[in-house]
Parts: sequence; structure tokens; C-alpha cells
Amino acid sequence: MRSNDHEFLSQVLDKVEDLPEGLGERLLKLVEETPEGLEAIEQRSDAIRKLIEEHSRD
Amino acid sequence: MTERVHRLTMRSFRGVPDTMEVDFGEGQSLAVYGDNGTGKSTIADALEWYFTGGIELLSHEGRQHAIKNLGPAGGGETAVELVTSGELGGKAVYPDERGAEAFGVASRETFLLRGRTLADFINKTKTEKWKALAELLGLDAVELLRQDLQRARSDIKKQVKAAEERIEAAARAIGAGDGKVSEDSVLQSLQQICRGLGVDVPDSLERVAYPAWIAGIAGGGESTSVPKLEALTAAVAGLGPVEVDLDPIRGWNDLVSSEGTKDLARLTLFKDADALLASSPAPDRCPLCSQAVDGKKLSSHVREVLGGLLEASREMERIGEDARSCLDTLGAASETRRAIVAQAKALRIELPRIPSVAAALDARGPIELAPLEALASEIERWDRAVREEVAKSAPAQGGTRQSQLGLLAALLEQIRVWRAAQKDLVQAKKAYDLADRIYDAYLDRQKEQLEQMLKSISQSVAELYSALHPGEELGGITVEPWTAKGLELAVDFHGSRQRPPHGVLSESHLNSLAIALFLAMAQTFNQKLRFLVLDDVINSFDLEHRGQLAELLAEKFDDWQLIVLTHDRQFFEHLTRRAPGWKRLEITSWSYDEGPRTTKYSSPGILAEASERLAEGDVNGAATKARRALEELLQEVCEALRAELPFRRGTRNDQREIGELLKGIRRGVKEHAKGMLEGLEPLLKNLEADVQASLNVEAHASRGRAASSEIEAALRRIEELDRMWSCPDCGTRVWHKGSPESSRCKCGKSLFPPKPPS
Repeated sequence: MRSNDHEFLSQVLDKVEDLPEGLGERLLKLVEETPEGLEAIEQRSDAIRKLIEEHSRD
Repeated sequence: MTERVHRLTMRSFRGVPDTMEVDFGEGQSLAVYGDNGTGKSTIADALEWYFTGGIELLSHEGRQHAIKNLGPAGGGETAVELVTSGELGGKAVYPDERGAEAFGVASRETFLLRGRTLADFINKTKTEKWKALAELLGLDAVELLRQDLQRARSDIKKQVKAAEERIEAAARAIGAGDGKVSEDSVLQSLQQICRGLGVDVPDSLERVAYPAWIAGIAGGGESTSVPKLEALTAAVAGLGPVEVDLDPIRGWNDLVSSEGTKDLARLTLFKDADALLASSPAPDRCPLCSQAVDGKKLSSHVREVLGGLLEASREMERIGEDARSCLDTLGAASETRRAIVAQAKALRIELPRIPSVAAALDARGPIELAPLEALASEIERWDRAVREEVAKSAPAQGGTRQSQLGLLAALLEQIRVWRAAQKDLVQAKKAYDLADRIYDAYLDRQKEQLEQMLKSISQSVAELYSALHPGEELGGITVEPWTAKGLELAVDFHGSRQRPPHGVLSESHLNSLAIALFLAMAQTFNQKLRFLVLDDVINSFDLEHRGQLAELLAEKFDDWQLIVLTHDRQFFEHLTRRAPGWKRLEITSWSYDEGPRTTKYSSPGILAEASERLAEGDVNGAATKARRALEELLQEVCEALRAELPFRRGTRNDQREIGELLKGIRRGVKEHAKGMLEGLEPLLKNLEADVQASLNVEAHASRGRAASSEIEAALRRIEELDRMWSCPDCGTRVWHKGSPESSRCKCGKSLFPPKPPS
């Protein structure tokens, strides 16, 4: 079970202004579902990038 | 809920051959006194092993087997059992097969400080301190997420840059030499061409993308086909300068030639090894070569190497991306020109050939730079030559309507590319802005959290240090960040800032600082563990500072459970005087056969074990235990009767022969209860005979084993002697303590001297 990074990100997202709707939940879900293995974490940045791109489209 | 230790039981563990139990009541603090080598640190070892799965002292290769007691009785199960006030209690058995989740609390919280590693935290390098603190506070996962957010942001920034480059190239092709065009200027050029051709003049650039508009133009012209010469001219005109920086390729070549990168071939092997170790309990043998290994150490090593390899792999990916982009630029330039060569050939115009890019990224070796440098120069020369060549064949100004339509088609294509790239840029910038805001907020929060933590620790360290050294001029003690990934201790010393403080503090002052830091960290961060173990931490302290530490522990940590182990009698007495509520445990000696001995006599317990051995048919075992029980009992009686025995220094008091102890008892009884000596003498004589015969295991080897009945008789006589000194009603001992009143048992029914057995 992940704890520190998930809790920390949650605190951070609360402070980001104009965060697109739904992005916060999806980022938190992504972090929560990333298994605590180095291989999975390696690919996490790509998944984060795709989420941000998706939520910044018009 | 915070937890305290209630009971610790060690079996066949380290210096304990059989069983040793330490009772902490309802989680009371405990002061343990014992000379060096008496086994007091076994208590700290047991707690360390139970909570972390290892003992740092034994962490070097080949020492882990010493967790098991290596004495004669060490054949049984090696185990540590813990009863706590919460859920952390349980049993750990050697070899330890508990998974990493069993050690989560101990990896985050502070509970053990040893004299031999006291200054470690202070002596650690800045980055090691950061690592230690990061582990302690669980910052690793937070830091990994920051790296992922940073990488995502950086990837989006690359997309912004790529879109900007595409816009610039398209703008040059549209006709702006400086690469700067606007929607208005492009529309005006387009409208001018359309008016000249007499086709529908578009009122916006949006309109020219409509198929109906394109069809309208086609219908209004003489031919829908694009004249090839005009298209070729437009294509050549659209060629921009190829500015290729080959530095990323040079960086790549340096990287793939370095020693560290060669190890990357083992990345898959280490990933597989990590997965294998994570999915099975810690093995005691290497899964590949079957050599005996410490499973936890192996897992930790594999993870450490894997972490390094992944970091190197990311570095390679980052530099590789720049190098690949460089190759792509050159490749695209070459392909564009090769397409123009083919286009010209169809018009029977022979243009010089241009080579393609054969190089590709390969982690196994560097890329040859010379062909790439030659190609970049060749493209520059080719562009100049082809412009001249095509200009000779270009249609004259004010050519046919068909050629003008060709120019229009080429312009429309460049406008389409230019507008698509602009759209991409808007999206990429928007995404980058969002990624940047999230990343900045993350960094701010991380910084804020670290500052809060360091401020909190610094304040506690300063207060605790000041309590240990009242009135000493050392101010401004802080734990400070050192670059992005380091921590350092700093102090003010006579007006100057000292970081680290090693230059101005003595060893004992540094040790005080380490104790203060340890206590501050526990106070600040422990959420689960409410006990602390301090094992011989005062070696470099003088008498005054030992007193200060005792006072600090007794007063400022009275709401903690402290387990303080020391070989310093004065410190032990000082501490237990300051903290009368603490439990005391004195370890008097240690022997290979028996392990640590405490001041608490336990002959009844050992007698019970002897009877159990006898019932199991283990005659020699029963004889050994019976002899041990007799020694224990005779020592207790000698001490209680204040029997005169020859002076001996140190732990040798615990190693007296039974004959010597019997003499002591006779002297003690003669002095305090002369009348009972005659009645007691037959029993003592029989016991002397037992010691020479049935309880003498060495004699069993040479003269044959004793009969069970003989051992049983000896056991009964020892029990008889034991019972003699206890009240039959309340079971408490009856000793001579001066006045008759004080020489009674607890219930008052039995008086000293007791009656000898009849």
C-alpha cells in the first residue's frame, strides 16, 4: 500500500489553482495504483504526462 | 497508538544459551547494569533483530550466523518473543523469514542508539545524512514522485520546442526569410495570388482548408494538375538552413564508452533478481549459485545495484533522446533533398545525389561522427548548387496560369503545415503551463515540509543539548539543508558558524549532540514506537555530564519507556535514584554454559527444569541442571547470611565451587543461628556427596552414568534445602536481618532461624 507520496500529492493538488476537473482524482489514482516496484515507477512519468496533456486539451 | 514493551523473551539467542526473560511490567522504563561481556547488549540485540530483522554489528558478511547462540545448548530454536502494549508483539524465529512489511515501523522510526555507533550520524557525509533522514521520514516515495513529475514536465517542454521548430521551418517555406510570419501577412499574400488568378479570394485562413474552396479553385482554372516544375521550384525555395549541433552525439559517445554504462547489460538480470527476491521469503542460499547468503542483505544489495542501473539507464535515455533528435534532423533534411532529386529527375533535370543517414543509436558503441559532419557540410553545398540549378529552369516571371496554380498549391501546403504546428504549440504550451504549476507546487510543499521538519528537529536538538551542557556557549544548533540533497549539522561557536561542528567540539560534545539528535528525532517523528534503547552511550562522558544525562532522561522522558544499558555503576545508581519508578536489572556475570546471570536467584525454576529433563530420560541434562540449581541456591543463602568468603574481584564471585559455598553457609549459620547447624549438617553432607557422585557429569563419563533414582534423590535434597528458607504459607524467604521483627517472612508466620529438615 502506498502512503507517503499519495498523501503528499493530495496536499499539493489542493493548492494548485485552476486544476482541470478530474485531473487531481486521476493523478491520485495513478499514484495509488502504481505498485511499489521500481519497474512500474519507471513508466509512471509517461502516464503522468499523458494525463496532463489530456486535461489541458480544449 | 504508541506501543511499549511489556516482556522480552530470548531463546538460544546471541549470549543466551537457554532462555532469558526480561519483564518490563506494564511498559516501565528499565535500567540494566552489567560489566563488559556480561551479555547486557543481548537485550538491545534482541530488540534490534526483532524490529529490523538484522543486527548492525553482524551485518558484515559471514557474521549473521552468530544470531544463534553458539554455546552447548544452542541446538534448540533461536527465537525472540515480544509482548507489547499493542500489535507489534510476536515471535521472530531464526532463520528469519519475515517479509519487508514486518519492518515498516522500525524503518521509519527511531528506537536504538548504541555507544559504538553514537557518532555515526554526525560523521556521515551530507548525502548519507539526507538518505538517513529520508528513510526515517519516508521521504523516498515523495522524492521518486517528484522525479516523475519533473520528467513529465520536461517531456512536455520538448514538445513545445519541437512545435516551435516546425512553425519556423514552415514559415521559411511560406516565404519569410527570418521565419516570422503572421496570419494577416499570410492571408494577404494568398489573397493577392488568388486575385491575380481570378479565383475565389478567401476571407480567412480557416476557409482555405475547406475542400469546397479547393474544388472551386480547381474548377476555375485551366487544369487541376499541378505543374511539376513550379512545384519543384517551390520545394527548393522552401528549403531552410540545416543547423545541426552534433554535441548531443558527442555526449552520447562519451556515455556509451564509459565503464558505468557497460554494466547496463545486467539491468534485466537485476530486475529479474529483484522480482524473484521480492516474490519469495528471504532465502538463505543464492537462487543462482546456491552459495549460502544472508537473504536480506542480498535483497538490499540487489535493490541498491538496480537503483544505480536504473538511474544510469534514465541518464542514457535522456542523452539518447537529444542524440536521436539530432540524427532525426539530419535524416529528415537528407530525405527532403533526396525527394527533390527524384522530383527533378522526373523533369529530366539531374541534380547532385545526397547520401542518407546510416547511423542509428546503439548502446553497444559510439556513433561515427565524421560521416555526419560530412553530410551536414554536403547539405549546405547541395542547397546552394540546387538553388542555382533550379533557378535556371524556373518559369519566367508572370508565367502561365498553370504555373501560378502550382505556386498556389505549394503555398497552401506550407500554410497547412504552419497552422497545424501552431495548434500543436498552443496545446503543448498549455500542457506545459499545467505541468509546471503542479511541479512548482510540489517543490514548494516539499521544501516547506523539509523546513518544518528541520526547524522542529533543530529546536529540540538545541533544547536537549542545552540540558546536557547547561551554561556552555554553543548556540544556533541547527540541522540545515546542504544543496538539494544534503543535510548538515551546524553550530555557532564564539560568533562564527561552524558546519560541520567537528572542528570546534570535543568527542564528548559531539556524542552529546548525537544523543540530542537521536532523542529529538524520536520525539519529533515516532508515531508508533514509544520506547527507546540506549546501549552504553556514555563512554566519553565525565561524571558531571553522566549526571546531566540521567537527569534529562528521568525528567524530560518520563512519558517514554527507556531501556538504558550501562556498564557504569555510578551512572546506573544515579539514574535509578533520579527515576525511582524505573525497574532495575543487574547482570552479574556471563558464562558459556549459562549465559547472563542476574542478581535475581531462580533455583526453583532451574530445579523444575532438572525434573523435566529427568522425566524425559535425559540423566546427564538433569544432573547438570540440578548442580546449577544447587549452586544458585547456595549463592543465595551465602549472600543472605552474609557468609564470609574469600574476596574475589569482578565476576569471579559468581564462579565459586560448591564446596567453597558450603563452607560459607556453615560459617554464616554458625554466626547467626549456631543452634541449627547440627540439624542442617546431615543434609549438607549428603549434598556434598551428591556433588561428588550423582551430580558430577564428568564422573559419569568415566565411571558410568548415574541412576535416575540417584539424581531424583539429589533433587529432593536440593528442594529440601530450598524449602527450608521459605515460609510454608506465603513462600517468601526468611533471612537473618538484624532484629527478630525484620527477620520474618512477608506474612509474619515464619521467623529466622528456620527449622532444619528432620
